[in-house]
Amino acid sequence: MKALFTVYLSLLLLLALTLAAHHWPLGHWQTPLALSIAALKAVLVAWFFMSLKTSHGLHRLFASAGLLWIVFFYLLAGLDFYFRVALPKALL
Amino acid sequence: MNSETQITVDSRYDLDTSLLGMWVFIAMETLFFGGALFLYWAERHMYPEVFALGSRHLETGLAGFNTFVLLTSSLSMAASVRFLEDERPRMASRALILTALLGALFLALKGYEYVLDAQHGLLPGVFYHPEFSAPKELYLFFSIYLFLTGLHAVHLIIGVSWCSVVARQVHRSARRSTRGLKSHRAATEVLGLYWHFVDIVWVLLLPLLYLIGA
Repeated sequence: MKALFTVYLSLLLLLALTLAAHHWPLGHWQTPLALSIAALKAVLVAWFFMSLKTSHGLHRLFASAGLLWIVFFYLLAGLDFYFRVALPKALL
Repeated sequence: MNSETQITVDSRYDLDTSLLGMWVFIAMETLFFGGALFLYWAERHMYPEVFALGSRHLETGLAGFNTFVLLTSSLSMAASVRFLEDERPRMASRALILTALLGALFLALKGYEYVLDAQHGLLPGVFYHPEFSAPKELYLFFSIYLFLTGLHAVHLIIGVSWCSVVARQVHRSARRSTRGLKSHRAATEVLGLYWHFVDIVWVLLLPLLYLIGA
């Protein structure tokens, strides 16, 4: 139970850091920093609260599969979004 | 193999299978929210200033407090699982009730936030009439905001209802057999995975929606 409270306090500290960093003049670094803190919070919740730390290897595999598919999805959809060119009217 | 050992082996198998099923569901949900978040990124990439403007008009303090509420609910959910592992069903039931109450508090505050948004004319639809001179693309930001937070709220409504049912079952099984308690442990752990996933979604939505423009 002590470990759960330690994780909880870490999550609250990270939340306070995110809200404080919102007022710092970080420019373009603001979103990457806020997202990095959010990702760290997500990892803490998944590893300790969702018990990935002690869980079956198969459960970890399925948890990773979700992330892997989302990476594929973002990669392919992102390539399409950033590199799509307008087709010539003759082809339409 | 005696009957007690059989029960332990069956319960372990039931628990592992149930948890695996929930992990498959979470993988699907990750793709579901991922699609919505890609839409968000595409629109934000096209209209970065509009998204920063929209974000500045959201209730950041309220969202921060709501994150605190949801993180606390995740702690009580994790504690309920730990109480059941230690065969303390009464404490587990209380922790589950606390989790459901915190989830309900989050929903109440979110509802209050929607009322404030509507009063400022920022909710898409018939209520949309911003009090300031806004570019027309701002409607996009508030549509995505409403869709993402609404989708999260629907998941939380399901979570609160489910949590209330499991809390009642655990409370009732407190005086029953070990077998009953073990089956409720599986139900609570599966519910816990769902609850923490919904918590993670909110943790990601906070910086994406509320913390864009300082």
